[in-house]
Amino acid sequence: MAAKPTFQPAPKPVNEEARLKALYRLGILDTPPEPQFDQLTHLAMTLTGCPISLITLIDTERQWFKACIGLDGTEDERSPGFCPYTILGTTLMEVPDATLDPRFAGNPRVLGPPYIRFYAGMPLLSSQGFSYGSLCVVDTKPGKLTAQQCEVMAVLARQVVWCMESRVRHENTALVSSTLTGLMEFLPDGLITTDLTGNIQYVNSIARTWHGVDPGTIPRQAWSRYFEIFDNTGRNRLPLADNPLSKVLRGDSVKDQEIIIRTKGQPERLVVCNADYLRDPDGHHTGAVVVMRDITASREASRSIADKNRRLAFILEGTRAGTWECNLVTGAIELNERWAEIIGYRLEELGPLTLQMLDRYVHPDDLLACRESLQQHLAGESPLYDVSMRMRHKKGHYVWVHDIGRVYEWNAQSQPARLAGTRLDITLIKQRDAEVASARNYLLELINAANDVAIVATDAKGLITLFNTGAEHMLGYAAREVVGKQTPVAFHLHRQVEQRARELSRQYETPISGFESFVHEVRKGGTDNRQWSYVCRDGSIKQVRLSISALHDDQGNVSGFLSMAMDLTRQLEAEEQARINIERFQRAFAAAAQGMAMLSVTGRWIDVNDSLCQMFGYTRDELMQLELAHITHADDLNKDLQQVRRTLDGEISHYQQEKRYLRKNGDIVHCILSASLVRDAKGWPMHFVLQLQDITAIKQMETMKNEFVSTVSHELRTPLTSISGALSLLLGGVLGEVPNEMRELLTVASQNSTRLSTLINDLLDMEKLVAGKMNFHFEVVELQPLLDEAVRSMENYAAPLGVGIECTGTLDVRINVDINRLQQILNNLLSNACKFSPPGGRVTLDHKVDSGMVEISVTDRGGGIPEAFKSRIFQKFSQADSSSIRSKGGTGLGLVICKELVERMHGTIGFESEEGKGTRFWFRLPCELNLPKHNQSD
Amino acid sequence: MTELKRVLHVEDDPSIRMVTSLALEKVGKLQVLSCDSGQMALEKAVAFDPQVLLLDVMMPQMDGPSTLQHLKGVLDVNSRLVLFMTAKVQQKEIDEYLGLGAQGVIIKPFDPMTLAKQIQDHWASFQKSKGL
Repeated sequence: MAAKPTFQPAPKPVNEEARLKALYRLGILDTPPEPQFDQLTHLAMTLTGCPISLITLIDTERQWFKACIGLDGTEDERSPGFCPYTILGTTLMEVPDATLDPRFAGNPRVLGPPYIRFYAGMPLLSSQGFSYGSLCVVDTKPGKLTAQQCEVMAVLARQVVWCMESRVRHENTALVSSTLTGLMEFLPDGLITTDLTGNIQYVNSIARTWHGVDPGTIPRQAWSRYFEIFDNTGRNRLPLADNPLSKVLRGDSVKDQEIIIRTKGQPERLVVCNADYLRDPDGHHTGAVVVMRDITASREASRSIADKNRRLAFILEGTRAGTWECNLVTGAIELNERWAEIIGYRLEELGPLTLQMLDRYVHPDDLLACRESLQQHLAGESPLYDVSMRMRHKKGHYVWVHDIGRVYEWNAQSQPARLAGTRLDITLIKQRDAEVASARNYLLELINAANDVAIVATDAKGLITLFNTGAEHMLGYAAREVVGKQTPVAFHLHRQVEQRARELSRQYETPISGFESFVHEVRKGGTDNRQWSYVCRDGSIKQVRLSISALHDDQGNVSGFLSMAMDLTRQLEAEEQARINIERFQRAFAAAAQGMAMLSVTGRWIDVNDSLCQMFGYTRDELMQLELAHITHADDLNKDLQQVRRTLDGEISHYQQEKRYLRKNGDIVHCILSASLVRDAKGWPMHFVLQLQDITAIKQMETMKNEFVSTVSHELRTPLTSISGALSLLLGGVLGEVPNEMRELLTVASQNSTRLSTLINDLLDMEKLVAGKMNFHFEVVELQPLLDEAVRSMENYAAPLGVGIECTGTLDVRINVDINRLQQILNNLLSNACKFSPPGGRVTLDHKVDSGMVEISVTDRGGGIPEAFKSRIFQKFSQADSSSIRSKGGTGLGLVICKELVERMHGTIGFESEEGKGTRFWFRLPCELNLPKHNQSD
Repeated sequence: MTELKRVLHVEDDPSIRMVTSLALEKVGKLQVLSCDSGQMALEKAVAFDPQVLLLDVMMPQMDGPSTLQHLKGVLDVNSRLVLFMTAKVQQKEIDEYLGLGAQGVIIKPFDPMTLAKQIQDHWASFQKSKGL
């Protein structure tokens, strides 16, 4: 029994993993057939005479055929393969007869198709020693290769490996090349390459665009015809020798060369070029490349900034302005040289600068204004920081500067971050302003004085050149009569001029006469002040004080003279008049029946008159020893303090005040003090003139009268109580039925006792009001119910008179009043209105609100108030005529009481009346307006 | 509530005494003891045992408030209604009288037709305040 033929699949190489990686790197598996591999396979087949030849690559589980002759298919399983054995070694593996080899005898490819008997395979070894697979030949009958055939197989295998590996290199190169081309095409810069002879090889799309043609097709010699290339001035066409590519090929380096490209239909381009050789990996020159960048726009921008800066610099230089910049966050300051120069420093002398340090140079008086202006600007309240101030110069004096600046940068929180501005030295302007102002003031003063002062100017010889209005007034000559015609000698007293001339002649030992007498002493400068007599046109003589000084021209020569004359006559007269006035005042003062005194502003007597001494019971000497405060009632000391102050402040010129003083014996003297303040010519307070009128007797009378009224009224009440009570009882039928005739009479008596009662109440009210004894209980209440109540309480009174009362106001207001007093006012006004209404008349109670006050009015359609009476309507015991007292029944006190009550409740009262048409009384009280209620209910 | 019957009236003015008596007796149907002075009131008060003391304030010799002080010596004044009658109408004075132990003030001139009613009203509230 024959043994079963054996079969052993090949083990995997020890470096299988790395081997597979190397295989995959070739990227050759599953690619289409390629002729070079087919040819090598064919060669192996031919040279060995075998019918089958393969290039087998060993994958994980399969044998893949890159080339295959004599077999169908492109792959086979790995396990039944011969080649997996081949790749375990480095040399040719030969199997002469597979049926005799224990490794392959049972192999399915031996037992079945393709019935392998002979196999020879050469491993495909990489340079790193990996076997990719094998180049092998196969036959169906046993065989053996010659030594020469073995050698051929080895060479062919090496060739296969080289083909596979170079195939990868080639693919890589192609990839790199296409990537580069793509990059270059999309480069924002222009790029051109040439070979070593200067033939253009590559032009990218930007360069093609710039030149408008594809220069690749143009020979080097023809470049200049196609390319409009100029030097960077734009004036000269760029010579071929200066072309960046030419320069590189010549061996010169090209770095940042600027050229200008002008292509038809395109704007001029300023281009910066960098060029260099192209080198191969070994460093050999293979050509040249130029890279071009368009800098037209950025150059334009930087040029315009430079232009702007230059212009600004020009302007700043022209204005001699200092500039400053301030970082508000850090406080750092930047200044220019001129800024420092204005205050006499060089910039470096000022050292490192901060905002605070600059304050040291600002005049202390200007610091606040400077800061305020800055704060205002930073707060956005003013468009500019604009301030004039004084700065301390290095030499110690101050210079005037004018700063204008503004915030030009804000931080993310919109707070000012940077401030910049300019500074001008305005010292000269300020000085000139001051000079002009003072000159103007000087002239103004002269002109103002011109009416009182005679100003006469002459030329050097004395001929009058100016004769002002003051001179015209004083002397009676018109300017045109003397200017250019006379010398001042004409209106001087000749005797005086001659006398002066003699004095001067003697003094200076030289003959002096005429006009020279006035001016001899002032020729060398100074002013001559002297009293002279002017002879006026009408012959009258005026005493004048004459001031003469010389006028000089630019060279210092005397060009004329100026004289100013003050009329002493008037001054002397005024002095006389003042003396008379004082005398007159003193006589009046001494003789006055009223007490009079002059009091210093500090409160000391200057003088007192006899009446005042008598009034206070002191002798003159005693009184002068005392101060006014000592004889003033302690409670009244400060009564007129306010008025004294207002008088001293000039708000008022005088005042009157009732005050109490003390006599020597301690009695109180009631006085009306009239004080007026006397001021000197300049308006300074000098002293008070006091007049004191003794009103003690009047006061006592008044008090007595009030007390009398009070007592009498009170005493009247008791009998009145019995009278009205008795009448009331009778009329009430308490003592039996009253006959009609008697009832009528009793009614008259009853009504009159009521009137009497009202009168007494009014008198008592009046007395209380005058004496200040009436108390008010203020409360805030609704007005409308009070008005309704007043109308209701008046109805019984109005009905018998046939008068209707209507209440028309509807505003919802609240007032702060004493309810009883308000009722008293309303009753009074309503009863008056009813009383003076015609029978069947109508009385209207109305109210309206205006500026926080409610105006309540009572209108009747009666006879109106006679014109002559209107001014007395609110006076005591006034009624239009006495007959109406009887017919209308009234005390004449009602309206006075109303007025007092209204005023005590902080209101005002008044009336309008037209005779024959009616009267409208109104009073206004403070109020608060309620919200309209109907709005809320809607 | 105890019915009001007896009123002691002290007043120096005879005419007012007359009017008051008429008003209270005829209109008010009350029993009135009219005294022309505080002295007389002191003498007669205990026997009369008045429920209401109606005192004029201003009287010669002994005025209303002193009369009340003296009456306290002979009567249990606390259990009786005390009213002053005055022409002075300042609130300050009214308060002063109320402080002296009066429960009310009748102001002159008064209306005799309603005087009794005024007193009855005071009586009613007085009774109420005593819890009667």
